[in-house]
Amino acid sequence: MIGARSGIGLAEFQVWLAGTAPDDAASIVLGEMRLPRTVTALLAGGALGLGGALIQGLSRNPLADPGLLGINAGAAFAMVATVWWLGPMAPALLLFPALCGAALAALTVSSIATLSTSPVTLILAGAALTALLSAALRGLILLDPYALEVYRHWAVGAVDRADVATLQTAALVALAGVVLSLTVARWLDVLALGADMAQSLGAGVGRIRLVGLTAVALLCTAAVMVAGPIAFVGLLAPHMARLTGAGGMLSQMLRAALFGGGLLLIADILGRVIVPGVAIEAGLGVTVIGGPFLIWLVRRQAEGLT
Amino acid sequence: MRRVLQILLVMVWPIALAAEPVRIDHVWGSTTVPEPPKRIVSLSFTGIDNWLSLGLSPIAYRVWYGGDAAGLWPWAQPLLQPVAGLDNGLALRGEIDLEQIARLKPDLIEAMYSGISYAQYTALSRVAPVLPPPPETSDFGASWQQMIATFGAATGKTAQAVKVTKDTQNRLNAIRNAHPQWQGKTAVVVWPDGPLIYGPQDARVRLLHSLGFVLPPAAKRFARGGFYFALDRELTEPLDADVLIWLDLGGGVGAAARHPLRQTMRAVREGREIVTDPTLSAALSYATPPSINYALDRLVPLLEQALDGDPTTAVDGSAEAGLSR
Amino acid sequence: MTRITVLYVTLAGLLLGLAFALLVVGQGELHPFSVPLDRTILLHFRAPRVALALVTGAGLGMAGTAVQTLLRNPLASPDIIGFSAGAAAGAALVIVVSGTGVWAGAGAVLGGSVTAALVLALAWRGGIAPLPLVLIGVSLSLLLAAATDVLLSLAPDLQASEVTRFLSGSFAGAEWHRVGWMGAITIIGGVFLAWHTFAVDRLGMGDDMARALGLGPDGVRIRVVAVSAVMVSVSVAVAGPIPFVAFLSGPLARQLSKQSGTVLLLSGGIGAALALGAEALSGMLIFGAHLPAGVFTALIGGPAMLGILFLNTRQQ
Repeated sequence: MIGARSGIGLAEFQVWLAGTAPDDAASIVLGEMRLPRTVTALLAGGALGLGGALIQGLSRNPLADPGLLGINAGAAFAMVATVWWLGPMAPALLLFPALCGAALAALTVSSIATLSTSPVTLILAGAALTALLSAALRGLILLDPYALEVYRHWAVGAVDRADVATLQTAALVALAGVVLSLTVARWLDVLALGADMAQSLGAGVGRIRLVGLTAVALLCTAAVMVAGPIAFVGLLAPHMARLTGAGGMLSQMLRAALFGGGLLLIADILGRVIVPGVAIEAGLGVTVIGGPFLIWLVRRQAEGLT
Repeated sequence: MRRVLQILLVMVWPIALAAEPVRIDHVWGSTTVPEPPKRIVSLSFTGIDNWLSLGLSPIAYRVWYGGDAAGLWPWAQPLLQPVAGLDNGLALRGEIDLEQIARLKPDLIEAMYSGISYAQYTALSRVAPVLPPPPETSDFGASWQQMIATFGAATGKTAQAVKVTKDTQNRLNAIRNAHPQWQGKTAVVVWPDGPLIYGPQDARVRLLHSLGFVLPPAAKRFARGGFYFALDRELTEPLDADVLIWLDLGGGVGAAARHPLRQTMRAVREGREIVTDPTLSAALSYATPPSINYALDRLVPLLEQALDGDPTTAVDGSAEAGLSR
Repeated sequence: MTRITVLYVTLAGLLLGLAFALLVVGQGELHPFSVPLDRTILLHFRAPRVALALVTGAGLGMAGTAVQTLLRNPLASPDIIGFSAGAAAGAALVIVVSGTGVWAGAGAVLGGSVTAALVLALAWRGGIAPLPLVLIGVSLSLLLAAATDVLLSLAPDLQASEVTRFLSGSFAGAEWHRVGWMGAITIIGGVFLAWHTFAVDRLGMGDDMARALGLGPDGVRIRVVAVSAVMVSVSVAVAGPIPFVAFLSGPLARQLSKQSGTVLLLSGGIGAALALGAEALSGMLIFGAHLPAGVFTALIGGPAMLGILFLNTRQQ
């Protein structure tokens, strides 16, 4: 309901719901701009929040973020490489290479990480691949100014890009990720009791990792598809979930998803109204809200976190 | 006013001085060019155009982006001629490579619009006289008028430099005078993926300004004097102009065609849209005398078609770019 | 010979060989004793770049491993907890406001130091615990990166790509007085960190362990973090933010030597090797253009890290 364009209120909302004036500017804004935007924010934020809780649980590192699997970097690199290879093209066409890049990156990290039981291996492998891909990306950008132009606008995640078809595909990808995450949640609780205990209960560390990482990859890919690389949500949402209570892994993950979706939605709405007329993308808004918030959260909890 | 002064300054420069050492003041002091240079290396991103417009071919030049295999756009291609006894026309890409430049044995290194650092300036000064940005300008603050005037002074071609500047200025004035109906009309330049609207500092907006166009009030308010801003897609007020120019930088203008509020825009309904293809967009971005000439050749007819007051006149290129009404 | 001796000898040979090759091999023959131009090329173009790569890489490697060990987290290197981002944002601010890169170095040192002070101040709650410090650092880092993005969008296209170039990190702008600055900082910082290695390694095992040995955890943390921040900020000032050297050197050194703790000297050596290798690649033409060294540090370090992880996990 809140946006830059004035003159859209309850009356226009009812007209849009009734569908009596489909060509009216207000109806177009509501149906083709604000609705997809809201769905995008909730979907991407929720997926990232859930993915963040999962990867922090898997790696036992509260600094972990779904971007750590190299998924954002993989998507960005594949996109820019396509532009560089095939020449300039419409940004909408770049979705497919982005998807392939994300999937490949996730696969690489998962295959190395599942070989070892040490959480440090996962972190190091993910960070090394992210470093590698983002360096290659920077090289290509410096070679091709048009690629820089495309990347500069994609790199700040935003929620106003996806159309309905993309949203549907992404929702399916995310759904698969959610199902897998729910399966892993229970195992993670067991794993917290120790690897041996988990093994004896039939939950091998390797298998938990494989399923868990696949879930994170699916969730993060869905978010990248609709909104580009959104920083911070995956890091912050699990911390918010932990703040609001302990509980099992399952309830923490669900809370993280809710917080993630809400966070992105609020960031988007604030981004639209702070400087009227000028779009401040949600990716930027999340950082501006999330940064100070995380600092505050950490200071509040400083005694508990050691 | 400043521009007139500059031209006057160049005009009173005695031509006889050319054979003697020329001192050129710049942002980091001054550089002396001992004699008219033969082996010029141009590190400015738009340097090659400006040198060619003076009839001089550098032995090496920096490529900004695109163009043909040698990094030249159509307006510069015919101007680059081989010079007897000179292996000219080497294209330099990417970072400034000090050793490569030194091995070309230049007698002038021109870097007025290159982003050269002070360290690179001092290092290269060990090899040949270097021309960094003019006094009190930023890295990319040199105008084409300043560059042409300085190039002319450094090579003893001041008369030629004055002529190039005057010819371009005269052509702009002539077009402006021939179209009194354009004065005070609003024009807005937009990159469709975003959409990004270019502000009053942008070279393309400045060129339109010199033809008599102004920014729509809403766009001017949001731009706050800057180079560009990202427009909230819900708003179409800043796009509400007498002529709406979609910039195709090579990725097409699909985002303009798919804009949900397209049918509510006045410029669309009244047939006042222009699409500048990648070459024309580049000509507008380079903003050098040859590129401005090329841009005017192609842009003026499009502006005439868009602003004839008749919504049914097709603007060349718009339908091909996928914009329908 | 022990594994560690072999490592040191190999690394020293690699560094010497690379440095020599970079000085001698170039775009043509070099006769520094007879041709003045060649002397200029050797003494003022090539040598400062090689020297700057060596001292910057070594400084970043040592600063990185010290902070990672101290804060007990491989992700907690100075380039991830905000010092690099702060220095880069400071430099970008100066470039965009002044329209030129001349004062970028001062902006970098100021930005990095202010960020480090801010991280320490915000993390102080009657003491400094590692995890809050890291989380606050990461938050600030992301905030500053966002601020740098906003700064970029305020600049015209070419200025923006110039900032992007600076932010990629490069030794191309090397000159002897920059080498002097960075060399001095690397040596002073390195000696300081070596002097603190014992304390850092004990703190890396836990605060109780350190206290039992009579070490004050907070004092050590503040001193080591502050010194590392200065090392990183000065490196950004002289060469731009060379990415991933601080982050990768420590883990590479630990995985290669199979030792735990700071492994300060080895990390410094690996950092120098990464930087020098990247400098060598940046001297080559890639698709007709030279790319800044900062692009290559991770292109070398990333696969090396993945490969070593793969081998080490296979051995388990």
